[in-house]
Order: sequence, then C-alpha cells, then structure tokens
Amino acid sequence: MSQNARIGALTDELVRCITDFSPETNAQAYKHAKDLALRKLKGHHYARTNQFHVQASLDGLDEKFRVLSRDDLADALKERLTELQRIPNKWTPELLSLLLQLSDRPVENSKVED
Amino acid sequence: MPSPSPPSQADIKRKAAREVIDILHEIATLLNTHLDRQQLSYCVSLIENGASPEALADVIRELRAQYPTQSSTGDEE
Repeated sequence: MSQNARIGALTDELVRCITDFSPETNAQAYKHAKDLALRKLKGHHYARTNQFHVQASLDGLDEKFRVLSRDDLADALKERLTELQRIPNKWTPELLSLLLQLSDRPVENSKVED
Repeated sequence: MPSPSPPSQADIKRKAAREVIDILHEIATLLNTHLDRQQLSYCVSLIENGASPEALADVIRELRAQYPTQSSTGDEE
C-alpha cells in the first residue's frame, strides 16, 4: 500500500471516531469531513519537527505548572516524559508536538490520578 | 513441559509500540487534549506515515468544531 493510500485509510478511521457518524447513515457529511481532512493531510512534505523547540515548550509548560501551584501535574508529566525517552522512537518530537498543540487549559482542567 | 520460545523481533516491536501508546495516552490526558486511546493510535500511525503534526492538529480542531459530538460538548467527565 502506498503512503498516500495508508494516510487515506487512517484518515478515514480518524474521521469516523472523531465525528461519531457513520458513512452509511450520513454519507454527505462524512464525505465532506473526510475531504477536509485529506486535503490537509495528504501529499504535503514538511520539515521534521525541531526537537529543541518541543523540549523548550515542555520546559515552559513545566515552569508554568509549578508557578501556578500545579506541581502534581508538572511531576506527573515529567515522569511520563522520562518513561517515553527510554523507548527509542524517531517520531517522538512529532508526537509530543501534536499533543502540545491539542492541549486545552490543563492547569484548570487536568486531574492527576494515581 | 517445553519452555516458552523467546519473543520474536516482531513481538518486541509490538510491545514497544503498545508501551509508547500507553505513555502518550497518559501525557495526552495530563495535557487535556480530549484524545481517546483509539484516536491517539490513529494519530500515531498517521504521523509515522508522514503526516505533519501541525496539519493533523489543525484537522482535529476543525473536525471537532464542525462536527461536535456529545462527548466534545462538555458532557464528559
């Protein structure tokens, strides 16, 4: 399977689980959502994510959590990042970059559970 | 009783991939990204196949905005 075909199939699955509707019952909306996603994801070559920028963002977030008395959150995040670094994966900067971009007011909304 | 055979390279790779998803899911939860484990798995596969994280974040935000589901409208715990 070519890379574009793989991206197409994965985009299809992602659209289904984010939008919660099935192509059978809502064909037009589903097609629109899938076209929107594919336009943005397919066939774009991009420069690799700068791991130093990602690290700087994570350091900034750690500092922010501690300044705002969310040491629990800072410690929990640090622990997971240390665990993640134990497993070699060339995509780690890209994956962390995605999570940083989707982060939604963690200071106010995140709870740390054991 | 025969001793179990040692794990193959593929088994080791699969185990590492599962471990990465587990840790990323915990980070995603701490950062309040609203990604569930399945969505995260698709995102990981898309990135491993060359999708840009910026474009992917953009797509997810736009899909959530255009097609809000019950779980994305503040009803989730």
